[in-house]
Amino acid sequence: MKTIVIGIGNPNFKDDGVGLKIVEAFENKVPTIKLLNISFELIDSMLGYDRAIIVDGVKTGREPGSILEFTSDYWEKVYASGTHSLSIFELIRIGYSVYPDEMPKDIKIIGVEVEDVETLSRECSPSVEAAIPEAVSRIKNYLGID
Amino acid sequence: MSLKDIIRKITQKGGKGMKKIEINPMTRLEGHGKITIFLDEQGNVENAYLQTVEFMGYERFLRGMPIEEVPRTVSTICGVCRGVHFTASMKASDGVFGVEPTPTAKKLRDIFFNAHMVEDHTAILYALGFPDFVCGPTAPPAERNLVGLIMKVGADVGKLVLKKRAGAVKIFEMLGGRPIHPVAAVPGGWSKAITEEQRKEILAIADDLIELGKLTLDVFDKVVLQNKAYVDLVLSDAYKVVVNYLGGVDENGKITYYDPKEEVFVDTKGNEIARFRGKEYLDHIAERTLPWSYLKAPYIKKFGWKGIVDGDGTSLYSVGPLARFNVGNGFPTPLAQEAYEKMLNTFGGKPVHNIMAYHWARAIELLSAAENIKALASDESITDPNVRQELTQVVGEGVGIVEVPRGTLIHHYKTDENAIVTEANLIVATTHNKGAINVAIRKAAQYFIKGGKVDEGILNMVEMAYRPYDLCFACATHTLPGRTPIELNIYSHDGELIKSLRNYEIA
Repeated sequence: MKTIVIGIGNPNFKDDGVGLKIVEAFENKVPTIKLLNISFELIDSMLGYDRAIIVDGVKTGREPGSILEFTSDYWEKVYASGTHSLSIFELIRIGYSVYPDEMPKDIKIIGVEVEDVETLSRECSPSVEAAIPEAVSRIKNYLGID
Repeated sequence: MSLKDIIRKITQKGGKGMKKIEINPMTRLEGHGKITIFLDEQGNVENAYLQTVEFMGYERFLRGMPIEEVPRTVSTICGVCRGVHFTASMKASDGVFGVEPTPTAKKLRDIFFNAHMVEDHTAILYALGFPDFVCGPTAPPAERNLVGLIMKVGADVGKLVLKKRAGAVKIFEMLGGRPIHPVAAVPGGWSKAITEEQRKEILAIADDLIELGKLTLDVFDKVVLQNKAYVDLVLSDAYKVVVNYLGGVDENGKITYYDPKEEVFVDTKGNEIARFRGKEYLDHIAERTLPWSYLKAPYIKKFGWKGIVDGDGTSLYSVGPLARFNVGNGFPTPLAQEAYEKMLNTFGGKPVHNIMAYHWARAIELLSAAENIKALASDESITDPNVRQELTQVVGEGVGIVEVPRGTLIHHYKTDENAIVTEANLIVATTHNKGAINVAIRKAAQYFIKGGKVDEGILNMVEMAYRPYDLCFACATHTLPGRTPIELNIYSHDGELIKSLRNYEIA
């Protein structure tokens, strides 16, 4: 099964870079890509793959470092208005309506609850940093790789 | 004095009808934009404020960095604006070394930047501008988005738009040197030349992008201009903000993006107020710190601070596609010029103060940027390997001014004798527009809230007042759900919170 792991985040804003750090664990093992934000490139990067795993920081009010998994059940509920940013869920829906045959049939979204995405730093908060091995391990299990 | 106290102080009135405004401190940590609306005793809007996150962090972050590293670093400020800060700082780095890029390097930078204009304008128009029109401003949020737009215009059109836009990204990445964020900037040039094969590829893509521009104007024509209700919306007083305008022009006064010869201010009647280059911006732009916001509001220095007000005599100005339309005397390329004349005729002259026309001007600019790419890539000399000037000195100061998708972007750096940054000043488009955006929000709120009657629809009507400017204050916080979160709070005359609305969901 052709799989891509996609990390989203800004490496300069502390916990915002968590998705990128997680994806680094999969470089040279499976196809990976790092995106700075959520845009149409997300769709472009997934086309032609059977499965995609998207990793990003999330802010839901849970304990920092909590790991969340989102499925299609979730994105149906998301209010999909926006300014210049699009939501991941909106983009996936667009991808399916525009490229029904080329989009991965299986898309999983892994979110790590962030604590601080405003301080200019390339290091994550300790609580978020501590969640990285667990997130990596979950993705490895999912992919069936060591 | 806390922010809460400051806001209470500035919104209090003495005597009868004294206000007791309670406002929560801005949720800076959450990276929200917050709109606060105050009603008077009759329940009509007395005032409205947009509070946003400041952009100063990067300026401190850049201190101590070699100027050559700055473009590569600022290109990661924001994934949306990845090309713009990169380009402005690259131009400033030329100044720091007192060097002019070679002619070929200038052309490559120009193509690169125009490709970025195409990709960004396409995303803005299709993701946020058109849905309000195509799906209707009163459509439920679940339909009033890009998905709803694609449902209306058809998946085939959606596919065409996305595929053609991908061509612009391809040029951006081919020249920029990296798939995610560009790295090809060097002071006085560009890090690599292009081959004849690449030139031909760019040329072929440019034709596709021109088609994208024509298609986009066609969509705008069909869904907006041929629909009286939407034309009325474009012309509505609810979305009219009478301010001065700032935009960059070439040597013929035409609208240009990468390297304007001069920046020009025009007043609310369209008369030229001033023109400047480089560091002279300091003589014309002053910044007012607003006690209720972390963002400063710039104004035209010689007019003096007149407050957050529009109308003749205001010192506020705006930037971006509509401002450029109002400042420039047309476009240098034929198809964009034709579209410019059509817009000009529709409004019966300039300046146009109807902010919904930002989207129209944006669509014309998309076509113009595509035509610019074609014109530049048609020049066979662009494959010349001489893309880098030798650096022989450190002048120690440089200013880069670029007309970016959202408006005028200024990067100003001072360095030590080793070209290490000692001071940085960045004025981004959303900052220039701060005053005008506040006026826009207040006007829309005044138009739609009467007698204390507030319903859910007001959130979109107010959002529509800032969407034309395409606010970009979410640089630091793109985290899920992946859009600029806005909270809107409405307070009665006695300070009671009577309505709180959000465009996001707390999971």
